[in-house]
Amino acid sequence: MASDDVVIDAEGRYTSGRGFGQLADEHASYLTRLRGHLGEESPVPYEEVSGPYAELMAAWLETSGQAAERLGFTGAAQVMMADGNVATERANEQVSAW
Amino acid sequence: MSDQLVGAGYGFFGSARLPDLPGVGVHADTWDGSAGQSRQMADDGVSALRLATANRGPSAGAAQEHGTGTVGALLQAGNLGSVTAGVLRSLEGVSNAIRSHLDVLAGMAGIALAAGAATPAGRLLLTRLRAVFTRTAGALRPLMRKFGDIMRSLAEAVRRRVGTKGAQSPQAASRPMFPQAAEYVNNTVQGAKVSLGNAERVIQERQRLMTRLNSSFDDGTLTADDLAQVPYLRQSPTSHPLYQAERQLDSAQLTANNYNSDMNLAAFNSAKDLHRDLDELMGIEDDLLQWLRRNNGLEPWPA
Repeated sequence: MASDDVVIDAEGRYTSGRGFGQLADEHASYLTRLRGHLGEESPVPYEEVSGPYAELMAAWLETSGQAAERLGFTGAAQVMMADGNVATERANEQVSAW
Repeated sequence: MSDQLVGAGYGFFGSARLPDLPGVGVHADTWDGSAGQSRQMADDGVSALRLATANRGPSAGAAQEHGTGTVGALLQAGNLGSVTAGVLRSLEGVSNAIRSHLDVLAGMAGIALAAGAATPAGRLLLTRLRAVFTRTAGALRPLMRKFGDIMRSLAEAVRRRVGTKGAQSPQAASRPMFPQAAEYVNNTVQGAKVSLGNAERVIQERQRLMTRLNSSFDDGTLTADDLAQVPYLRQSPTSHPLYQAERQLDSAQLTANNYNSDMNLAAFNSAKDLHRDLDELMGIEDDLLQWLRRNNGLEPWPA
């Protein structure tokens, strides 16, 4: 039974979770293409720039990978939470039926 | 200006022409695309979050907060991606400006060599040209070091703002994100673009003028039309593009002072040095024109 300040909309949470999961997949496949585009070779032939630029690209790819993972985690957590909400409702229904 | 004269000039300076950097523009486009992708993901993430907003309660609140952190990091990524694209374009502009400048110096040295390197006036011009060439060529690597510094601090900002630890709410991300850096980088990159654009226009104007002079030099005639070009060098100082570029650099430097950023101040000082060299280059051109006029009998040598 939901108290006044607790509202559960499991369907909304499922849709939201699936949305995040889809975004995570999209972002991950974008990053695979991005790795190909940026390539290994520095576009600037001066060591003053090529080192720090490689560092910047690495930071970007790493943190973008983390962002994709985080999108996936957000999605999975929403789905898990909705599962929990639904299971609780079912349990409540069963308890009331007794 | 003929390639032959420019080549002779580079030969005289004992230096090779700076390379084109075609990959830099391609990378800048890629960064813009990546910034757009991050923003799109953030927008779609906000829409996905809204689907769950009917839920209320402590755990619903925690879930929402986690989701907004995810979106916030993507917004930060979008901002930093755009800044990186701008920095790369600025680097390309600086490199092109220096190369054009060196081309003009080499072309002028070529003309001076062809016109008579053995005369005292020719020797003096070549000596001055070599000094400006050396200083201008020497400005490239320190400027590249500044760009390296900027990229290193961008890498740090990416790790701090976009990485898992730095995830923030969209509200925090949509505030001027790191007010000093964001606003400052915008101002300075815009300011530098305008100044470099002006400097490049001056260089192009010089190249056009020198091409005219060079062709009339080649066929042995220097005409009144050629001389009509000369007043350009003596126009009102305040309407001169270099003067205006200098003013813009001054105001950009004020901005830099306000933000107390040593690194960017140093970058602007280097840019100002470049403009000073351009100024000196114009002085030398003036002398060279006079010399050509006298050599062609259009103006008497001083008694």
